[in-house]
Amino acid sequence: MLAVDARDLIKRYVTKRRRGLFRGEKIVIEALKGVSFSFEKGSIFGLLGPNGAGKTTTVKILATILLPDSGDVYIEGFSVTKEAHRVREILGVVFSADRGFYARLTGLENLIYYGMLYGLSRFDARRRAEELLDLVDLGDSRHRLYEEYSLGMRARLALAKALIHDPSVVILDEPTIGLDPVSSRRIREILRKLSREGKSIMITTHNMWEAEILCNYVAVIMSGRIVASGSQEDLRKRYGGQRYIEIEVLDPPDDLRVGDFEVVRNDGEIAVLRTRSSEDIASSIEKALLEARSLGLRIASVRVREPSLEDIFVEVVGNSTKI
Amino acid sequence: MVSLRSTILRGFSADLWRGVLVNFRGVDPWVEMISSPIWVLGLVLAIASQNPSILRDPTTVKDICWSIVVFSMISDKLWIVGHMLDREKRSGVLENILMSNIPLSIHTLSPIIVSMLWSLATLGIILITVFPILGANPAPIDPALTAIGYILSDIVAAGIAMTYAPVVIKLRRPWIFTNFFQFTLPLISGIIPQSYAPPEIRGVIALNPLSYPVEILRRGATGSSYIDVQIGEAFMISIAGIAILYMIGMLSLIIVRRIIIKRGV
Amino acid sequence: MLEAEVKEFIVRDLWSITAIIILTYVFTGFLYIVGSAFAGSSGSLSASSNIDPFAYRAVGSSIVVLSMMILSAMGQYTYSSMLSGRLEALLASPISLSAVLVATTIPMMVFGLSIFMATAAPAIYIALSKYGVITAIESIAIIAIGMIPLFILGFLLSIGIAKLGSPVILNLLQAFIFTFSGALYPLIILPELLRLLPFSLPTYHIAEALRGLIFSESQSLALGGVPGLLIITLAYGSIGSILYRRFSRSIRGGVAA
Repeated sequence: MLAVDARDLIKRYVTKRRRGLFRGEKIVIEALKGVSFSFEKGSIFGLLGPNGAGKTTTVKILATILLPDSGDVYIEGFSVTKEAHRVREILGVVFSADRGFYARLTGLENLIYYGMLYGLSRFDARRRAEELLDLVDLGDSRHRLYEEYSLGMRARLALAKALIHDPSVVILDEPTIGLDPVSSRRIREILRKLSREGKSIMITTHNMWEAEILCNYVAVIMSGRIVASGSQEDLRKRYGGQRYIEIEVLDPPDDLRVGDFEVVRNDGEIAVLRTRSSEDIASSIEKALLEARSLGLRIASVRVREPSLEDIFVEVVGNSTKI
Repeated sequence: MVSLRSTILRGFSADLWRGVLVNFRGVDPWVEMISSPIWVLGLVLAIASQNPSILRDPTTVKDICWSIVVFSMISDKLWIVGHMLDREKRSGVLENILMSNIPLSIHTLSPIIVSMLWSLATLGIILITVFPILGANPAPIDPALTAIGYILSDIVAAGIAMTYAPVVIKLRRPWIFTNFFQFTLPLISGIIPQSYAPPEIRGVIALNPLSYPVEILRRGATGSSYIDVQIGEAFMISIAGIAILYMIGMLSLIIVRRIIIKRGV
Repeated sequence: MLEAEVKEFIVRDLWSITAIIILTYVFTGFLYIVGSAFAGSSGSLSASSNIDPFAYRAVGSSIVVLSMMILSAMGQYTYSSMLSGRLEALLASPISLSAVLVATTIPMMVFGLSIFMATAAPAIYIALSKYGVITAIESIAIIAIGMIPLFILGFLLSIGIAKLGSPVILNLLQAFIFTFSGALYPLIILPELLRLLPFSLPTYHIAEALRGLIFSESQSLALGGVPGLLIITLAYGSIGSILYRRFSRSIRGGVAA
C-alpha cells in the first residue's frame, strides 16, 4: 500500500506588489505546476529542492492546511481534500523547528495540550508525552518553559509533538535546518527508528548528504515541478552517469588547468580536480596522472567515487534550468 | 477513530487549561493586572477634568467608574479574544491547530472564558483600589442584578470580539483597528447616558446589543438608568444578542478557516 | 546608523504614523464626549478661565501619546536588539554605544515632534492665532526640550527591561505615566496623597510649560512651567549618565541571550 500518493497537484498564489502608496499590482505565483509522487508504507522519502521550489507548499497540502487548486493527495488511501479529518488522525507534521508552541508552557505541557487536541484523554496525553520526551532526550527538560529551550531542543520537541497521537505517517519540513551536528544526528537516529517500527516518513530538505543517508526514495522538485524521482539507485543510473575521478593537488598554481578536469576547489594549498571517467577507469586515471605530471603538479591523492545525490541533484537541476 | 464529540470536549478542556496557564502563570500577568486599576484611575480623572467639581459627587464618580470598568472589559475582550488567532498565526501555533480536528469556533471559546476570568480579577482589584481612592462606594445597589449584568456584558463583549477575530487575522496592522474600536465601541455601548450622547450615536446605542446588558449592570451597580428600557426587555435583548453574535462569530470562523486553507496561513 | 534609524522609524511605515495621529484624536474625542456627557458641555476645566476643553485635552493627549511612544520605542529597543542579535552586532562594530543612542534618538525626536505638531494642531493653531509664530515655535521648543528627559526615562526603562528579561514593566510604567502625567487633567483633582507623583515626571512639566504658554491671558512667555522642565531635564540627565556608564560596562561584560 502506498503511504502517500500525490497526483497532479496545482497551486497558485495571488499576491499584490505595491506600486506607490495606494496602487497595487496583482501577481500570480504558480507554486506547484502538476506535482505527482508516491512512496510505499514504511519507507523514508525525501523531497529535495532549492529554496522556493515548492516543498513547503507541498507539505502544507499534505498536512490538510492548504487546499490545492487541482489534484489530490491520498494518505494511506484517505483524500486530503475530501477526508481531511481522517488524514489528520494518521498524520503528524513538523513544520518548523522553533515555532508552533506556547512560550509560557513547559515542554511537557505543550505536548499534553496537543495530545488532548488530538482526542487523547489527559491521562493518556501525559503518559504519551512523557514517553516521547524520553525518546527525544528532553526528559530532563520537561518542566522547563518552552521559551527557555535552545533551537535543538525545540526541534526535538516539534518531532515529539508530531508523534503525540502515534500517527502512521510523519512529514518533516527541513527537520535539521539550523541545528548543531549532535541534534541533527539525534533526529536522524529517531527517524530511522520510527521507520524500522513501520512508520512512513517524508522529509523535505536541500541537504543532499542527509537525504542520501536517510532516504530510500527521493524526488527532486524544481520551480513547482518534479524533475526526477525514484530510488537513489534508479537516479544514479538515470542521471548519475559514469563515476567521478578526483585528484588532490598540493601547492596548486592560481591558473590551474588540467585537460577536461573541472577545478572543484583551489585554496592555494590544495586543489581538487574532477572529471567523469570513461568506461575504462584505469585508462582514465592513467591519462589524468600523466597530464598532471607533465604540468609538474604534486599529486596528493587520487579517488574514484560514485556520483553522490548532490551530484545528481546539481545535474538534474542544472538541466531543468536550461530547459 | 476518535469521535467528533470526544475531540471537541477534550479540545475545549485542553484549551481552557492551556489558556489559564498561559495567561496567569508567572509574575508578568499579575504585574499587568496591577496596571489595570492605574489605567482606570487615569481615565476617570481625565474624564472628570471636564468639570472637576463632579468628583465631589460620589454617585457621579461611581457612575464614571463603572463606565470605565465596562470600557476595560471591552478592551480586554478585543485584545485577548480578538487578537488570539493573529497571535497564534504569528507564533506558528495556528498551523498546528488547523492540523488537528478541533473546530476554530471551539478553539476560540476557551479564551473567552479565560478573558472573562481576567476581567473579573481586574474588576476585583479596581473595586478595592480605584473606588475608595475616588471616594465612591464599590458596593453595588443590587448585587444579583449587577452580577447578571456583568456576566451578560462580558459574554456579549466576547461575542463581538469573536466576530472581530477573523477580521484581525487578515489585517496587516490590526492594532490600528483594535485601538480605534476600543474607544468607539464603549461609546456606543451605554457607558454614557443615551440622552447626553451626541445625536449621531444615540440611535446606534439603541441598536447595539451590548448596550442592554451594560444597562442591566449599571442599574444593579449604581441604580442609574442610561437607556430607556425595562429590565426584562433588556434581559431578552441581551440573550437574543448573544445568540445572534455567537452564531455570526462561529459562522465567520468557519468561513475564515476555509479561506485560510484555500489561501494559506 | 542615522540613515538606518530614519528608515526604520519614519520612511517605512507612514500608515502607522498616520494611524497614531488619528488615534490620538479618537482618544481626545473619547475623553471629550464622555466628559461632556457626565460634566455637561458647558463644564469648564477651570473656574476662572475659558480654556477650550478640546484644545486642553489635545495638548494633554498629545503629550501622553508622545511620551508613551518614546517609552515604548526606547524601552523595547535594547530588549528587541538583544532578542534579534542586533545588539551584539552593534557592540562588535567600531561604533560606540553613545553614538548608537544618539543616532537612534535624533530621528525619534524628529518623528516625535512631527507627531506632536499633528496631534496638538488645535492648540498650535490657538497659539499661532493668538500670539503669532514666535509662540508656536516656543511651544515646539518646549516639546523638544521635554523629550530629552522622556528619552532618558525610556533608556532607564530599557535597562530595567534588559535586566529583567521581560517587557512587562513597560505596561506598568506607561499606566503610571498615563495616570500621573499631569497632562490630562489639572493636578488639583488628584487626591492629595497622590499629588506629589506628577512632579517626578517630565510630562507634567512639559504640560505646565505648554499650557502656560498657549492658554495664558498675556502675550509674554509664562515661565511657570519652564524652570521646572529645565530642572527635571537636568535631574534625569544626571541619573541617566550615571546609569549609562554602569550599563555600558555591564552590557559589554556579557549580553544576555
